[in-house]
Amino acid sequence: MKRSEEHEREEHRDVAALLGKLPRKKAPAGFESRLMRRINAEEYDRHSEPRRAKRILTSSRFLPLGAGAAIIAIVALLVTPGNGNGSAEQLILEPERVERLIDVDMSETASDEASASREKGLAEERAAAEPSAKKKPTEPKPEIRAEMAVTEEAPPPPTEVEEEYDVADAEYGAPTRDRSDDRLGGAATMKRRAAIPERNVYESQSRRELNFIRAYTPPEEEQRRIDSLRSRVAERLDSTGR
Amino acid sequence: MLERPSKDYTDEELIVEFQKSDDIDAFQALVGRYKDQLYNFVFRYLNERDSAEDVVQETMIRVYRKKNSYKPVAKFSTWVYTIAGNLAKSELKKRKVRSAVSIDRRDEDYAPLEIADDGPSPDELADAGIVEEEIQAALMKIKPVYREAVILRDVEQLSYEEIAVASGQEIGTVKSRINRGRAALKELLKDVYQE
Repeated sequence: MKRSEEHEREEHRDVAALLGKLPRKKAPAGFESRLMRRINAEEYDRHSEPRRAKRILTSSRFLPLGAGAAIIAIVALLVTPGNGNGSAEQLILEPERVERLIDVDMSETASDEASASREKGLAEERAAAEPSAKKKPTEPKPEIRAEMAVTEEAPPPPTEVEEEYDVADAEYGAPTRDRSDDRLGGAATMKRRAAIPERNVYESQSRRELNFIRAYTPPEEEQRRIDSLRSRVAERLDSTGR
Repeated sequence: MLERPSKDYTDEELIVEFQKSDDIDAFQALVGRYKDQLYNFVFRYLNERDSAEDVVQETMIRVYRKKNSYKPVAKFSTWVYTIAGNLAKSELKKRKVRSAVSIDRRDEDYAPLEIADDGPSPDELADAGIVEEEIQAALMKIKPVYREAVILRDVEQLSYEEIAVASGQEIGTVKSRINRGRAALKELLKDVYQE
């Protein structure tokens, strides 16, 4: 065994000699400086690892993900039906409740007995009118029906109430409601409008104005404007023969 | 800072100094001693300059970062050759697909030379550099395990024991690989030996 090893070594001595005479390659110039630069760069990277992680997490590639998540959350909030306990949701789902709340507000803010009683009477009248309104749409009176026939051909000019409301809107800086569509528009709209008693229209507009005052009027002026509205409502109701 | 000139330190003393005091001078002294040896070994193994430099740099970076994993029971040279050998093998694996193509190309590039009877001797050819390419091409044709063993033994002049440690093999296996590698090279280089 040992002899065969010796024999092999002898046999391959020339190969070993040839390999031993191969010129030795040297590391390229600047090897050490490049090495030290790499080491320093790696040291720097290692120390700034947390900062880099933070940068990656806050980088622009994660912004679309965050925005997407926010959009999904908003859509989920809007789409998912709630449990019905939220007051805002109740107001959306129950318009009658909105009106009741407005009535309560009106009566609460009444400063004198006369206005309070007027509001009470108004609420009672509305309560009496509502059940029939719920059962079937209010049948227009004959004279209103005649008016409807006229309005289908030519839209009527804005009513006194509408003009009054436009004036109120302008006074508070609200955008004027565009009624051109109503006046030029379809017969269905005209019929619907004609079917609503003028008094109801006025009540509804008054409630809207009250809400507007509460929403946009400074506190020091709020009471004055509410009083003004209340007196106008009272005058109006008196004039229309409540 | 080293207390004596770096040339007065053995490799093992330098790495221990680097371990103890993070002395960058000790590390740089080791780099200065081994960069050419390792580059020669890795270049002969991979036959590509850029990859060889990358592998040697990575080897030195490993030495720098993992200095504490060196145990003084072994020679520093075998430890550093082990790292370089492993990285070179990894590089070879990465280039597996490319290497098939490039070996074919090298077959064309290193086609056997027609050597005239009255031509120079193999030694003279080796000096001229033309045989060097022949030998390098032959090295690249033998199995990587034989190539590593032959290069470490006949090019780098490491002992069988050091090669055994560096390659993680028994001495018997190392000797066998060296013999088989040499035999394969002799067959591939027979034209060079005719003279």
